[in-house]
Amino acid sequence: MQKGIKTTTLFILSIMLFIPFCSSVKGEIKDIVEPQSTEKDSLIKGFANCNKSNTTTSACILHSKDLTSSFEVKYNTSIDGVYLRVTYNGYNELGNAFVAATNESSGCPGSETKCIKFYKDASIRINGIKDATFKFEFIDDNDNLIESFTGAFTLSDIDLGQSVTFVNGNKNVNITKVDEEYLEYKENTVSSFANVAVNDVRMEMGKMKFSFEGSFELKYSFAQFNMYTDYKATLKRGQMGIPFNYYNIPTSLYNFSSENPLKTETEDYPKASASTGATFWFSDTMPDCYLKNESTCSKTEYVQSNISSCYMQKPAIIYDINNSDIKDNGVEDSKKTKTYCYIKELNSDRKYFDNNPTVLAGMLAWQNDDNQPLIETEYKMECVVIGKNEQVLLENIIKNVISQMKNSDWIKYLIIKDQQEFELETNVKDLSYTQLDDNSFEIEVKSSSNYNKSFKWQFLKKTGIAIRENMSIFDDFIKSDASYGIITPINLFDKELKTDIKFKLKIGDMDIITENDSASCPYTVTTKLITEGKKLNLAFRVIDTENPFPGIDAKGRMTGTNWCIDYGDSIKYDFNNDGSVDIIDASHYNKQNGYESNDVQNDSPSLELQNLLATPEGNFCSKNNPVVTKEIINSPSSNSTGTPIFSITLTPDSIKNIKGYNKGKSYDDFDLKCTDGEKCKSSFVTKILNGNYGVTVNNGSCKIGEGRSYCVGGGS
Amino acid sequence: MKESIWGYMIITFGVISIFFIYFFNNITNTDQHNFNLLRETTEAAMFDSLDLATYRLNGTVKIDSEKFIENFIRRFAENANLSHTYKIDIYDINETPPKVSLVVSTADSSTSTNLTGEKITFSVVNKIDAILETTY
Repeated sequence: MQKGIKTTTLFILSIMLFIPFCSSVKGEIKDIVEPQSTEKDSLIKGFANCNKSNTTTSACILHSKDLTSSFEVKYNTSIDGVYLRVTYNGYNELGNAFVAATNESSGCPGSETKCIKFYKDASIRINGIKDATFKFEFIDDNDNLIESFTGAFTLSDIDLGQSVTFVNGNKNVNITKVDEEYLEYKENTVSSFANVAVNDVRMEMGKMKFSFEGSFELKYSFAQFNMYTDYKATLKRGQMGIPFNYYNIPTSLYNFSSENPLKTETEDYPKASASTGATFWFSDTMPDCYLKNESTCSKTEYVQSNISSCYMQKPAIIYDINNSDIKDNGVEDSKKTKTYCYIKELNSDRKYFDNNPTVLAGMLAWQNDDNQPLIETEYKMECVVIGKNEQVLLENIIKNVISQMKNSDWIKYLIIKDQQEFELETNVKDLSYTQLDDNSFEIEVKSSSNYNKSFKWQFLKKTGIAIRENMSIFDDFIKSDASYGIITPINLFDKELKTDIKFKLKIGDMDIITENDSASCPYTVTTKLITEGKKLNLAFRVIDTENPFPGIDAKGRMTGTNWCIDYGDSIKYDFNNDGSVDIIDASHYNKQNGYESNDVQNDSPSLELQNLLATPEGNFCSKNNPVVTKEIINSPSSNSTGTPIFSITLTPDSIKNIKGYNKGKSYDDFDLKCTDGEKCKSSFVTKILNGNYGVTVNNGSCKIGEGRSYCVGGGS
Repeated sequence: MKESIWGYMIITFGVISIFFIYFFNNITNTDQHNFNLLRETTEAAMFDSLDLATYRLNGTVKIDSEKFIENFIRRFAENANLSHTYKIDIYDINETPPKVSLVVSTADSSTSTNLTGEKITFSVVNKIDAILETTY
């Protein structure tokens, strides 16, 4: 009995011995870390809505229920390839009269500049008309009028899907009401908004140039609408920030798209400030919010780039000989020294020029209201001198510089009455210069005796002078690489004026712009998306590669908008399923006419196929559109076949090493090394590929150090 | 004497049973763990690698492949089981539209040897194809 008890006890003990071991082998999931990026749910949703009616644009107009109507024109003729010119008079819902005509120019014959190429038995869609009188003119390739139709109708008299017909002999034009889809946008009333990314705004010698590459389509019933632009990121401080805020396009049915962009306009605003983003209002009247209070308009989402986190305060003393007393010195214009500054985007060739450094400084001072940059891009401001100046008296230049200093705002920073007020000529006792042996000059600014040495420049904030709060990036009190007559921006913030200021100025000769010798200081420029509570709802989805978009009825559904074919895509796909690849440049995609035949190489899709592609319900957002087919369904990588890009082996030791790297370092703290601002490579990944952290890597289709970014699809 | 033999038999049987329970439990739990780890890590890495600059410029939803790889490896290692060796095969990173294809294999660090002396390694393989999609 006792042995039995011992045996049982031993058994229980043995079981207990294994209990902790058993528990340790459970598949414990430890601290799955949620994405740290706050951007996961903070982007714009609006584009997705737009795509219901406009499947391919990244920005579009949201339609008002009562202001838009669309109808389809079908022309029955045996002639193929005629051209249609439409002229119509009518009223929109607001009672505004208008006269408009087609605004297509591609492929028009002869002298016709506005027409629509009209395929045999095809149809076009015209938007935005309520009641109108129409004149349809059909033109042949030789610009001869084939026939014309004139008539009037009221769309409200036509039910959806029904037609009115203009008859001319045995020919006719059918007009069918087709546009119920726009009823979804009833929440937008008078004003509609477009989001347009403006990617190239620059100051160029006093002129503002801007270009739009936003692709959007405007469908509006107004006879005349105004496009208001307003750079919302106006200067918070400083004298800049004058927006050019009005742009009038006196036509209706104006269609911006990738094939018809509003490319470049120039406004003469010598002191205008600019950003790389803008907001546009399209309306028959100026939006109330614009007239009343800018802040009420800010509820609108818009894409905006902001230059914010770097500020060059009243910076450069730029000597411009053209404005000095030396200009009468007999120097030929071609030999006069010209100094100008530009803002240069680091790692790229983009520069923002202006001959007025204050303008550039103003641009750099740009900051948004909430001051929460998302992406930072470094800029620097450089000032250079071009031209020869051997005939210029150096002493006169120095005098001129000093004169400018005395009269400039810059010198005010050196003037202290007390810790909060400033007064010119209280503190500066003298400005003097000495010519040195190396043909340079030393300029000295002496402070007065009543100067308060405990003063810190941060008190300048109380004066209202434009100074950013975070000025820690400016360490140099004066940065004066003055080898070529340049005195570069200085920062006085948080500096105690315990000594007098000295700096050197040297005038040299330069034949060309030399950037290497120009002084610069780093800037951080932010590009910010103003979300105003709007979010981009991005869904992470694990997919079946054979049926990636199944839909609730298992028949498939439309893809999310980012999986639709977009303008600018070059589509390579066997549309006709005949074994040959069709290449279509989607940038030539025309919503009304489908594809032009010459846009399709190797194999022209049939007219029926074109029409299929030309509808939102067609291939462009369908579950098996060419993008889905190419990137998922037919992609070998989707089925995990072929050679992986990387094959990484993590051993317990390497896992420990990477955990050590993770300590104290957030997951979105990337160290990217870029080439010309592109093809960025992660330093961490580079180390991994080089075998650091004990990680074994089989490079697969990529080789270390040889275009890794290309292998994996390119860097940021 | 008779009772003690029964006792040893029971203990031996229990130990063998526990071994089998551990063995299959280890495989099944590793599979579950790997799948959840792979899925959650992929999701987090895709969101963290979103290229917001591109989105602001033209509304394109794009991920940065370099950021994705770094983020994925760091997150994966942070939550990986130290008793396993993982092999991560990255088959595809499509930046725009965002889509990734990954395979994670777990080789048990302790290989077994059967009666014939043949080494046996049990691998748990999980694959994932995932996209980021704007809600329709």
